[in-house]
Formats: sequence, structure tokens, C-alpha cells
Amino acid sequence: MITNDNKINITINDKKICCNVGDKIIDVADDNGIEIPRFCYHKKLSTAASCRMCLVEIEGAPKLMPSCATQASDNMVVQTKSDKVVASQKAVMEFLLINHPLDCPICDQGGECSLQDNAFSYGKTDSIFKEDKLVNLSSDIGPLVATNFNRCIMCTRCVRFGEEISGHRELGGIGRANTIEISTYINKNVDSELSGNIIDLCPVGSLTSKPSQFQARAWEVIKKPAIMPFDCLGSNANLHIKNNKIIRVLPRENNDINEMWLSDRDRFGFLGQYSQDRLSNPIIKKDKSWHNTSWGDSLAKMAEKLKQAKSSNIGCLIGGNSSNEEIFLLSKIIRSFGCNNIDYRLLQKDFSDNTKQKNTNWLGLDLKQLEQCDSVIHVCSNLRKDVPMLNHRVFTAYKNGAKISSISNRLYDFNYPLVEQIGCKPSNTIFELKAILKEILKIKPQKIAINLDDIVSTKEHKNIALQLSTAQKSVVMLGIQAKLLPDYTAIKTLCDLISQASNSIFAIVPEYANSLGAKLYGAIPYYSDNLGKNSEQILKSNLDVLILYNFDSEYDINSDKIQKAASLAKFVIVINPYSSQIWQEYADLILPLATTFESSGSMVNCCNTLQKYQQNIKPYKYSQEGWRILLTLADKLSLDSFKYKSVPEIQNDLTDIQQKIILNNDTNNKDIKKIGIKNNVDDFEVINEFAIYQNHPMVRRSLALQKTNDAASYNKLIISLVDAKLLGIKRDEKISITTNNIDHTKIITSVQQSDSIPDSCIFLPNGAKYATINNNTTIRVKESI
Amino acid sequence: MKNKIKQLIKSFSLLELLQGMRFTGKNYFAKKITVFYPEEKTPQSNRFRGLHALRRYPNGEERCIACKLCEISCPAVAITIESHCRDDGSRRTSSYEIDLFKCIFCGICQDACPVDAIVETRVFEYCFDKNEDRTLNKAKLLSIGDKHEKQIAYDRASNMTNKRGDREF
Repeated sequence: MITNDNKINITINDKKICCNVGDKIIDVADDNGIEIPRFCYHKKLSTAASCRMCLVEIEGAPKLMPSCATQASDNMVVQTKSDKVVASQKAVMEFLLINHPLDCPICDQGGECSLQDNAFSYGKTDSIFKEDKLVNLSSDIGPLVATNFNRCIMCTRCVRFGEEISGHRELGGIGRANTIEISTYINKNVDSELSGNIIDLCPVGSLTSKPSQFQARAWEVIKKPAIMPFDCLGSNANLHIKNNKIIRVLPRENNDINEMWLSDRDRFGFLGQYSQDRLSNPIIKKDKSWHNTSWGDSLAKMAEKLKQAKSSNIGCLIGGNSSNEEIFLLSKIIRSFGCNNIDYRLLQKDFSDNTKQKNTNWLGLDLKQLEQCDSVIHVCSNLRKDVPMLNHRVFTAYKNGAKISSISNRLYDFNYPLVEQIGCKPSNTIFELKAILKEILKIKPQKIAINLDDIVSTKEHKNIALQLSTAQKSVVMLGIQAKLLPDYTAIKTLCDLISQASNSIFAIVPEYANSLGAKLYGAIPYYSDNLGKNSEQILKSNLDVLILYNFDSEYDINSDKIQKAASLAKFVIVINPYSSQIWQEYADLILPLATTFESSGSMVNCCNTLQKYQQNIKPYKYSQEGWRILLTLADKLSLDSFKYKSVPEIQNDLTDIQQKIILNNDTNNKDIKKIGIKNNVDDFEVINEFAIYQNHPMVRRSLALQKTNDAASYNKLIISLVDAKLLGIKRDEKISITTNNIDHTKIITSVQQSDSIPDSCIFLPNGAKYATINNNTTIRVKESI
Repeated sequence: MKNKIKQLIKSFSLLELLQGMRFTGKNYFAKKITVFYPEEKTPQSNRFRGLHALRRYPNGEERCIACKLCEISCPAVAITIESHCRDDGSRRTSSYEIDLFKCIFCGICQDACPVDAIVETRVFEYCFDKNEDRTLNKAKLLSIGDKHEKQIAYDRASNMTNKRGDREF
């Protein structure tokens, strides 16, 4: 009987079940613990009904029906274990096994393979097939996914994933009947930033993980929950650990954050954990050579230097990927000296929003709301590569009918069509935003304190304005690339004004895994009443003690500036998991830090969710968890207010702080001043980026990720085709670059010409490796500020 | 009364003694089963489960494919395997260790092996004077296999009826 709330009753295997109208039989069975074998059906993908494994008998139906494609109807009687069904399952298994090789002993899927399990539970013991098996050649589809298409059973889950989830159809079924094969058609890599998920989706061993190939069996590993520290979303995952070593990372279902997917960065980033340049024990510089020392001695030395230093002459830079506990304790220690010189914004150039108001720069909405919005504007965002799982939500919104536009300095490649895509020079970004604001004001007239008379707007601006103001629920999303622009505050303010004028939500994507935590727990100079020095000022000043906590010297910060600052400072302390040449040269004390997976802690993701994680593996050699180091330091400094003994005790305090702070993205500074570059005609403007596989010290040491095309494309200097023609530069040529604020000449290995970049701009990879010159072409670059 | 007379006759005629003497006499002249080890040795079954060995194919390629079925089936947890991807892309062991102190010589490892790589040979006379010698590593196992390959192959072939008939040895 259909009741008011769309509930119906069906019977499966004599069990009476109440379910919703429109539910698929297979889902109803799953929810009620009735097992129906399947290969092609997946709850997050569309239904293919091609494997025929889930056939069930429905009373009144002449034939068996696929339970994945049949909706439950009222008073339906379903049998999943009748003789007819069992016979059909046996026949299907026999057909599937006809061309499947019996190589389970060498197959990585062995032990967690649907085909193995179903053959065991539902198959026949023998086969009447005596002919030769088909052979499908495997192809190389990149450094992340290993293929063996002999094992493929044509469930097409990977194909549907490409179409429906990653939005980039890279694999397809070619041919038909028994000659069908999964292929990229022309030999190419699968480049999607979510490509690793096809490993999980593949029910057999056709697609397996290449980095962890043959390393462990499914039954050998211990699964431990973890939070991925590689982007601001903090995807939930399970670490598969064998003998204190992470073998692989698989997603842990959390519909509020990463659903059941994981980006490649989260999946393979952990490989950097086992990089050769991990620091093994504390070392101290004596007479210009490094000596091993003990933890006690080194922290006593650190305490002594901190006590001797003048309080205004202490500086601390902390990586935004550190845990809340580390940020909280370090900032508390620094503040106990009456010093506020602590900052996490290592690459930001514009600090004019350095105010007492705690504008926390978060996403402003949760991910389910993002899926439901019908208009999104990306500002300076390469969201697809910046935060792949966040982009997946925008892609879902697009599938639900949302319109999306983008304004950025490079024309980025999105996996959904854009209404408008504006590419502009970094210095012109604010003009573009003002033009949009002007158009919005034309549609929705209202008072705004800035003068827009001299702004010329075009059709594109009008389209974006229309898109924003006609939408029911729209989002202005300020991406992480904006943080690298010299006009960041102005851009942020304009985005805020646009969102207010068009009545949309203003979302800011945090640049680090724990940017929000850094702001909440004090890694900013304006946390207390006295304003301290920001990272720019710390790098320029003459310090007694400089503490550099958990970041790399090359990509996480401008390497020239940090070298200069470290050589000026009297005592430089580096606390980092990894060593580097610059640290070896300029530091005085280097302490080995445990990585995120090796320590307990918590992080706040972009939606203000505090996620706790436990220590999953033992720290490498003599490295220590950050919170232990800092608590011992506090002890050596004999500070009173550090009575913590464990992480949960610290976390109690953290939760209190988090609850007290109300998040908002309001910009309090409404006057927009262009502080950027005054352009010389000859000068090129630099476009810098947070790159997909360079954003975290561990990720940039993950060899598998560095072999991908995404990583390779980042290592090239890019100029526009017009400029290349003017300057006579050929593809992959080596040129020299002069920058205005650093006296030496940088030489980049190779140049790429591209349409994706505006004229007289140059895309300069952060911390690129510089090689020798073999071309006389010189580009003069005006680096911002 | 009748029973008492029967018993008296039995005991005076020494019948039980003669019965015992008959058994002794029979065995006194029978063939002896005592084996003068080590000069003499008992015959071994072709299913004898002695020291382990790893086998190779006739072309010299090691059989073991690091499937780890022996490791997981071992009831005494005596086997430890590390697998890796060899340079030619094939799945191989990087280490294969058997702890002889843990091993109970049940032979389940050789039953589990899909490629007949791990086998138990007829070798049972071995000793070690150092503690570390109790673990057989991959090199040792392979050398035992190489040394006894002829015997192992013969035993496998003669024992074929116990395994799947279509297997080549």
C-alpha cells in the first residue's frame, strides 16, 4: 500500500521491507543486509546493467530482472536465491571466467577481488570452455595506474567514472561483443587528477595501483583512519600499513567531505614520506660543520637562545600544513615572550588585510550547499588542480544545471564548460572585477562606495553579471592563486563587494591544509592586540632568533628571500621533516620533525570542520612529533601555562577556541588601492602559482606524482604565442630571465608557448630548477613589490 | 569344581609358558627391523616432508611469484615474504625466509603453492651451531633446491596422482 510519505512495501526473500518509491531493488537489498552479487553496478555511478550478475526473480515477471536497473514497486515479491537465479548466476560466472586469466597468485587484486569472491560464492566449480582465451594487450596509461586488460570483465565502471565523476572521459570501450576492449584509443596517459579512483572502482585486477604494485597483499595490511594533509578539504582516508610502512591509501567514505573518492594527490602523496632526504636526528652547527646532538641538548640550546633574544627580535615562520596543536603551542610559546612575529602566509605578497578583525577566510558554506548552487564564479582559481575534490562538488553543481565562469591570469582547463572565461594580466585583475561589479550595479542598482566611472566593461562582464544576478543561489569563489597576487586585498574586497551586490555567497578557498587552523590558533601576527611582523617583514628584518617550522626552503617560500633572512639572523632554528641544501647552509640548529602520518593531531578544513587524527606509524628514526617537541621546549623554558600531557588535553582547549570564534569572510577595509606593479612597457609580469603537485613538502617528494603530466607541465616557463614570436623563442628553448629585485639572473630550463597566458606575461614556476644558459634571449621581469 | 581342575592342569602343564616361548621363538628367527642409523637408513616416502627448498624452472628462472599463499597458510607463521616488482615487471620476492624453529613441517606451504616453488625435500639431517642459521633465506632455499632438484622432480612426478592431473612437473 502506498502511504503518504512515498513509502512502499516489498518482499525480498520472504523478508518484508519498507522502502521509498523509486529505490532500486539492489539498494533496498543492500540496506537490509541481503547480498546480491554485482560487477557493473556502483551506487555513485549511473546504471549500466551490463554484467547480468545481479539478476533476481520477480514474481509475475517472465524473465529474471537486473536488480540494479529495476525499481521497487508496491507489493513486489523478489527472490534472490531461487533455483532459477542461482542457475543464472552460475552461468554468468562461467561466461565471465571464459576470458579471465587464472593469474590470481600474481594479481594485486587477489584477496579483495569481486570476481574471486563471486566465483567462490556463486560460481560453478568447473568450466566446459576448452578453447583459447582472448588476449588484450595492456597499455601504459601513466605513472599511477597499472593496467592488465586481460583481466577486464567490461563492467565499464572506469568509463562511467570518467564521464560522470572526473568529467574527463579518458577511457572508453572500443569495439563490440567479445572484441570490446577498454582503451584510451590513442596511446596517451590518463591525466585526470582523480584518476586513482578507477583503481578502487575496478572490481577485478585490471586497473591496479602502480606505485604500490606487488608490495603487499590485502590481508597483510592494517587499515588505520587518517586525514589527508595535502589540501584544504582534509579528505578522509584509510592508510594501509604493513610493518610500520604505508603501502597505499584508500578513501574512507564521508559524504560531507570526500564522498568515496580521493584525489591522486591524496592517494599517492604519502610516497614522499619515504624520501631520501628525511632528517634522522637533531643536528647542530659548530664551527661551520654539523654535529649530531641529543634532543635534550638541542632544545636546551634553543631555549637558551630564545631567552637571550630581545622579544621583538624573535621571528617565527610556520608552514600552513602543520597541525592545530603545533600551531597553537608554537604561537603560545612565541607569545609568552611578548612577541607576535609569527606568520603562516609564506608566499603571500599583500598584507594590507593585516587587521585585528579575525576574518577567517573560509569556504563560507558546506559542500552539500555548494552542490546545490546554480551559479559559480571562480576568481584566480585553478580549482580543478588546486583542490580536486572541491572542484568535484562544483562539477556536481554543473551537472545539476549550475552556470560557471572564471576570471584568472592563466586560462585554466576546467572539466565543465564555462559561460565566460576571462584571462587577464595580474595587474588587470582588479579592473576586470570592477567591470563586473559595474555591470551588476546596472542590473541591481545600489550604493557602493567606490568609483567605477572610468571602468570600461564588455560583453563578457555583462554575461558574468547576468549569470550572478539571475541565479537563486550563487557563489563567488576566490581561489588560492589570488594569494600570490600583489593586489590580493583589493581583489578580495572586490569579490566581497560583487557577492554583496549580487546577493551571493563569498567563498574563499584556503591555500594550505590547515590555513583555517593557523588563523584560529594564532599563527598570524594580528592574533592578539599587539600587531606583530608579518612574513614579509620577518624575512626583511634583522633577527636574533628565527624559527622555521615545517616548510621547505624552495617551494613553500621564496628561496632567495629566505636565504637572505637566514643569513641575517643570528640563530636560525629549522624544525622540519626534510633536509635541504639551504637549511644545511644557513641554519644553526636542525630538528627532525615527524610528518602528519607519524603524529597525532587535528586540522580544521575549509568548511570549519575540526578533524582529529591519530599517530598511525612510528616517527622516522629519531624524529619527534611536533607537539612533543614544543611541550618539551616549553618545559625547558619553564613556562607555566603548558600543563598538557597528551594531544586530547590540548584538543580540549582547541575546541573551546574554535567554538568562540564566529567565522566570516567580510573584508573590513573597503577602500581599494592598487598597490601592484606600475608597469614598464618592456617588463613582463610574472604569474606564479600554487601547483597541484608542488603544494606540500611530501607531495613534491612523491616520485610517482612527479612523473605525471600535471607535474611536468608545471616545470616549464610559459609565455604567450605572440610574445614567443616577437622574441623569437622556440618551444623548449632555454632562455635567461632578469628579475628586478634579485640581483642574479635566473635561467629556466625550458619554455613552452601557450594560448593560455596573456601577452607580456610570463609563467614562472616557483622554485624551478635553474640550468645553464644556451640562448641569448633575455626577458626582463618585473617581480611584484 | 570343574574350573578348579582345569586351572590346575593348565598351571602344571606350563601351557602359558610354552605360548610365550612360541612368540619369542617366532621373533627370534624372524627378519630384524632394527636399523643401524647412520650406517643404515629407513626407506622414505616420496611425500617425505623434510628441509624446505625453493625450486627453479629448467631455464633457471625461479618459480616463486611472491603470491604469499604459503605465508598466509602457514599455521606456525614460520614464513616471511617481501615482494617487489622486478626490473622486468614481474612479481618476485625480495626476501623469502623460513624460521625452522617455528616450522612444524606440516607441508601446507607446498600444498598451497600454485607453482610448486616451495617444497619439502627428503633432507632431514641438518644442524646448526649458530642461532641465526635457523632462518633459511632465499639464497639458501634456492641452493637446496638446486642441489636436490633431480630428487624433488622425481618425487613430484611419482606423487602426481595426489595433485591435479594436468600439472607438469
